[in-house]
Amino acid sequence: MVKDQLNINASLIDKVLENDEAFLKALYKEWRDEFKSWFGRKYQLNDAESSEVYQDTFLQLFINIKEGKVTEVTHPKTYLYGIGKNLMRQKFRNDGKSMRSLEDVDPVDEDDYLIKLDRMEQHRETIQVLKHFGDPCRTLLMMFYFEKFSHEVIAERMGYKNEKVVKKKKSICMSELRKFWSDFRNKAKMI
Amino acid sequence: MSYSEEILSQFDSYTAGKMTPDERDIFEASLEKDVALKQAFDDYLNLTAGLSAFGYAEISEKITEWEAEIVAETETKVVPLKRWYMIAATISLLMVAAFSWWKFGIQDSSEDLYASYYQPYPDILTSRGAGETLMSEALYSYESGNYDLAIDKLNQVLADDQDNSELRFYLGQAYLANSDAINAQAVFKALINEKNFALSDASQWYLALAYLKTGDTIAAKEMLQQINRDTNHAYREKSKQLIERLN
Repeated sequence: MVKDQLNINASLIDKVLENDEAFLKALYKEWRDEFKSWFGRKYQLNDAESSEVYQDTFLQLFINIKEGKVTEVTHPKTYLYGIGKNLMRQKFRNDGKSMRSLEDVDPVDEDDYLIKLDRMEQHRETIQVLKHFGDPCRTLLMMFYFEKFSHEVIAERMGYKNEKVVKKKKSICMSELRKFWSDFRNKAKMI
Repeated sequence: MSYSEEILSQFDSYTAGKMTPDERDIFEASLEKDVALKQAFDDYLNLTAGLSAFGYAEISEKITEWEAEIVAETETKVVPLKRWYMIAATISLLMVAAFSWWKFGIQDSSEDLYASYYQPYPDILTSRGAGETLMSEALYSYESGNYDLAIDKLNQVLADDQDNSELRFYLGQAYLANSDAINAQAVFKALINEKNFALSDASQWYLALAYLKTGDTIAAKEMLQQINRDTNHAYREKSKQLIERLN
């Protein structure tokens, strides 16, 4: 089923934007062994290392699509491998190592591939606060600021009367989140 | 300063690049003049970036789960969690402790104490390259954090091997990790009376924690005092600290 779906390359972007977990999970499994095998041989990675690279690469693919860095993927697998190779280049640069097999990395714009995992580290405090921030506010804010859904779509999905109600609710939720976050930071500093 | 609909709409438009050049100039000028507005905008940027990071962290956790599922299906060896994920987990534990302190005040609640002291017991039974058995699959699920599956598989193994104390210990661990402290208590209670059992000390310690988890501080203290009386107990030092904090 996944192979059929993957033939429609445009669907990859749609599926990521929709957070279609079943599709993404099937895709992850579909590409995994080949990717790991190729990267393992190419960069002399052990099994755990190639798994780590694959996980990071898949996440980066997701992020690039979600953030609109890529709006059309003609060859999804080629794109995936391009991300993987750039992650490898970064990894070895960070480790202060050089590697012959990295010389043939695609000359792409690295800004498009810079790993965003650091962001999760930078915002770990907010992430922690959000784990404790209740619904429906968290869902509403996630739908608007992460999923990038319009007010109209949020109203429809969350059962609000119209977009005006969503806008009002959103401003209340952001104010609550700001206060929640501020209180948390102040108290955390005291520990 | 709270975010009025109008202010929030301005912030959203500005960051989305939807303002006209004139609107943009006016907005930037007001940021320079109004300190409170500037602070509100900086916080807005932090919060919205945090919302994205939270979304990606959730996806990343999903990917880690998928990977663990695949490995569980095909191999018996444990794939290490990604480096950042382990760091994030450690930070998360610390932040949970900080959050709990903030939420419930200076006095420790039993839930706070439980969160401060609880750590899943590592799998010491299986090794890399071990043959693929239901037991190793169960323990892999446990190590991967898939506790429901671990409980299911451990119960299957124990159906034919009821006297296997080690596996019962991990069943208790899986229950506790899965926030089912009642079942964990039942398992550990039976284990603490086992003679010549290598994980006896650990069973006592985790039974005390399971009591804490359900808010039964009296039973927890009794168990901790019992540990404390044993001068060679592996968890004596921790028990001492915990008793002090409970007092």
